[in-house]
Amino acid sequence: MKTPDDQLLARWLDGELSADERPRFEAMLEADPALREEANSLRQLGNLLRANVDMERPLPNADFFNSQIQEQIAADQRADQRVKSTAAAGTGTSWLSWLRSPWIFAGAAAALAVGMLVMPSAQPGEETKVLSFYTPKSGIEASTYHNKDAGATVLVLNGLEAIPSDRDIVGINVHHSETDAQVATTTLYDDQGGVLLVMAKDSASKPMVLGRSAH
Amino acid sequence: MNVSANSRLLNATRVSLACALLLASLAPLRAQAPESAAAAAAPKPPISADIAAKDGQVWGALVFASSKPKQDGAAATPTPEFPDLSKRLAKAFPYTQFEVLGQHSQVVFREYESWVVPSRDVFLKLDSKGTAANGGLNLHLQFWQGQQVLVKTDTLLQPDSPLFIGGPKWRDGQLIFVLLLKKGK
Repeated sequence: MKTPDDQLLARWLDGELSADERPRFEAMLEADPALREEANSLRQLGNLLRANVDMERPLPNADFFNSQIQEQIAADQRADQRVKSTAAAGTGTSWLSWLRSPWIFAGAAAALAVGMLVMPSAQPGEETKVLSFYTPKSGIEASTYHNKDAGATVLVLNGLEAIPSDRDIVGINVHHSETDAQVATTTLYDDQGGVLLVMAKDSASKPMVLGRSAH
Repeated sequence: MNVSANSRLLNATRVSLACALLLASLAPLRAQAPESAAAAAAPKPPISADIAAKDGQVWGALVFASSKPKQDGAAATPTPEFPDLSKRLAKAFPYTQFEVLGQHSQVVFREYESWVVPSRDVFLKLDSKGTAANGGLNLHLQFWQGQQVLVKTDTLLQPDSPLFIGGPKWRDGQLIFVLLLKKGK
């Protein structure tokens, strides 16, 4: 616990003493060598920290991390809600005892902090839902969640093989398409009406991309 | 004429009548046959958004996400269908740079499969499973990388609520597929 002298010292170092307090404290410094030495040490330490530590270091991927924190809090709150619903039917515990839990204050503070940091960008409404998924290749696992802050549903695929760095991934801009039902092909056109690609299927119903040079 | 002769005559008559009826019934078919063959041989017009029944329209894009700043200073590809794409992707993926490699606006046919192909390397196959409430669309999706299907999914796509599919890692980042259902038909 800080003594009154420590508090005065801290405020003096931060330049927060009033016009009355400051001469009184500096008189104390003159009279007390130990206090003076401590003040000098703390001032040197502060200068050292300011010189070597970037106090406003930007958080990398701040949007992503804020979003993930918010997602986690929402998930925790949903879990708490489920537990509460279950418990309410059987135990008859008073809601006042739940409010007395120290965790409620920490949770409320965290939610408030995140709420101030993150401005919601998504509009309320119906959200896209991944109803089911199947990964035919072994080693690939899928999971899905709705990211409220991004206003999007995310389908995560783990275990995918990375594409070699020396391979070029070239995008195309498709304006419209036409399907030929007789030969089961789809021709993709650019905005000038030029043919970009033709999608067909082989005997095993796997897609074949025809046109333009293959890799 | 005995009974046996009468019976043979009756049978012969029956056979003749049957043959005549058969020939009579085939005559119209034979007359129409050349027209049917010609019709079958005639090429059918391709199915386009103008004439085919459709359940909706989607916009798809292949995005390369990384945290490495662009060095060539090239301008970002505009995405008028999805103006705040980078901002929203940044909230779901741990990257700072989002480059649209390719994009594709596509009608979702009611009776036929549809493809969303912003790149020949990574693309989506869509089969409509019918419209849903509030402008939504039920889809069977297949996410392909070349000739390998990475995931098959049944998804209820809603307007203004895109689907982000985290694709394979590439170079110092990751490929992300974005699928957005456009409002209206």
